[in-house]
Amino acid sequence: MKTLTIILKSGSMMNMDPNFALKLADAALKKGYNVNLFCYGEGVTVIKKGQNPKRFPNIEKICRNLMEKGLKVAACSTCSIARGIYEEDAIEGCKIGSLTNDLSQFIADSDRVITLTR
Amino acid sequence: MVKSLITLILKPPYGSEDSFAGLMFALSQIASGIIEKSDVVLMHDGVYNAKANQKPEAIGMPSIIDIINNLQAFGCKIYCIEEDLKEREIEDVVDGIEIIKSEKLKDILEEYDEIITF
Repeated sequence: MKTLTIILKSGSMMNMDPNFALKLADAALKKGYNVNLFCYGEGVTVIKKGQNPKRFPNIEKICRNLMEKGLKVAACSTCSIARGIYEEDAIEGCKIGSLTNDLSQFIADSDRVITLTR
Repeated sequence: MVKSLITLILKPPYGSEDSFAGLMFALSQIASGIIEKSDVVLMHDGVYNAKANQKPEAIGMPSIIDIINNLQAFGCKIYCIEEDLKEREIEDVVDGIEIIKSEKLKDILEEYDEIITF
């Protein structure tokens, strides 16, 4: 089984990148890929619980739905803590981890790595 | 499986988090012990990261030079595109950074399993 890792650097309301990342993850999961999403920088806001946008896609809801289908999600702890996001603030099942352990392992296990940054 | 990475840094330092995040990403991967090779290319406005005599303490920002020094301590190569330096009239570059012509970049990129962009 092939593995795709997506590194996401845009915040949940910043631009279309999180929505695109999750659509890409969904498509890859449907094709039978293992998919990892690593949230970095402002991207860590994707894992925040309680998002309630009025006019935009609810990234939290989409993320939860894909996690039920097998999407693995981790976020940079340094970036998360800098923004006041701790374990208790994160979607259940998202790991607040590190670049040197979690992201390195995601990358090493991957057949393809895609970075979404602007 | 991915064993080697090269990170392209396209943004200048200090105005945004991007170049700091990209260089920290490259450093974390070589420090992980999981990824065997993690090198960097400074290009477009990213060449401003190579400028010697930076004084980020004047604006209370973390030092890009410190990260570059740490990368070099791990034996990581840092390439900088000559044409982009000339366009921006940057002549004083941090020691140890390898200045290359843009035509050489294609050959360098072929040495790596994955290319990551910040």
